[in-house]
Amino acid sequence: MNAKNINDNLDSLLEAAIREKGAVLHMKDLERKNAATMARRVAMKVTSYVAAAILVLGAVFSWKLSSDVRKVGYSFDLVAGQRGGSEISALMQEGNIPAARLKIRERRESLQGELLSPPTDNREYIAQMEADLQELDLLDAVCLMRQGKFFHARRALMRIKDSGGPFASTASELLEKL
Amino acid sequence: MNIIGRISSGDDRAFDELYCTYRKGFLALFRKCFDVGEEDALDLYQEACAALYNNIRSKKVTEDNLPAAKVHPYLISTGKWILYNKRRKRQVPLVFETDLVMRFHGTEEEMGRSPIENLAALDKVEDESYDKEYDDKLFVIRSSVRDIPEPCSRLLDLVVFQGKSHKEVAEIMHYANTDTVSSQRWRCMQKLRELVLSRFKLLGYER
Repeated sequence: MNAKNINDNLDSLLEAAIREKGAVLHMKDLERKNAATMARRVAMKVTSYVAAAILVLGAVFSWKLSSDVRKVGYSFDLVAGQRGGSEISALMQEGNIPAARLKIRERRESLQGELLSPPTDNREYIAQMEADLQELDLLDAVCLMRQGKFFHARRALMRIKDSGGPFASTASELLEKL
Repeated sequence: MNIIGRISSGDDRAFDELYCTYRKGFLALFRKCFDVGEEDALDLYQEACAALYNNIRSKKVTEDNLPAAKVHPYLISTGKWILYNKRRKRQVPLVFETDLVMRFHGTEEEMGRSPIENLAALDKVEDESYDKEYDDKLFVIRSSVRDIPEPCSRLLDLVVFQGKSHKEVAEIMHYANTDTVSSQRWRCMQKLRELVLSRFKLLGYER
């Protein structure tokens, strides 16, 4: 093809130019779509890496909390005053925490039943039963600590501290250590 | 049927596949061997693909004369030829013979040379085919196709580039029937022809 016969072939050249323009616009559109797809893929990758990092950090943090609360739980002296009765203390010292908690639950139910219809009107007797109940709550909180359950233990200790009973100060001391 | 055959038979996805397949290698070569910037390399690639597409549709390139293994070298050579013409501020022909671009077929030496050496080697290629009048007229044709207003621009794109049937075009453009599409197409091509010829005249090229 040369300049002389360009006019004779004008229609085919016009069609070639139309195809060329269409092809270039189509490719630019393809680039835009591919770029958008890539950006979405990168965003998804970043999101999944961040989520994985959060999970890992969360797991590490959770393990640390659990480890710390166990240490505090095991540093608590059970022997002083034979807390809760010898059987509960013995189970806790053996490390049989589930069994200890079961005993605590049973003893609590028994005490609560007695408090509903006490055998006597003696105020000191009733006060002692209420103190025994709070002591059971404290022992249960220590069991939770020894199981590494930071948040459950913290909530239980907060309840004892807020109740203002005979073991409120002990609960407060334990909370400070957490 | 290789990718050339599929594009020739009107497979819509084949051209996109071709574009995505050779893109990375083409851009890497032009950036390394000719120190072309990323955006310029992408422009070169798109022009080379458009040129290949035009040659396929014009039957200059077929499945038989361009096997799959030669598509990449063809695109590279076309890219170099486009770069060669751009450096001389010349138009690249809309349709051309394969042997015209294969003069720019590269060698492994290119990969070992600096961009300056490669560009110097490119500039040394002789081109006796250059014709200023032809060049000017190609410019006019391209710019007229760009300047044609709607709805002609859209209609011609649907019929000529996308290869839609007259029935499909009538639905897309809300024409009454296929006869309307035919007559509109004729009118649009006539407008385009008149625009081009009037611009040829302005440049002093009567015929």
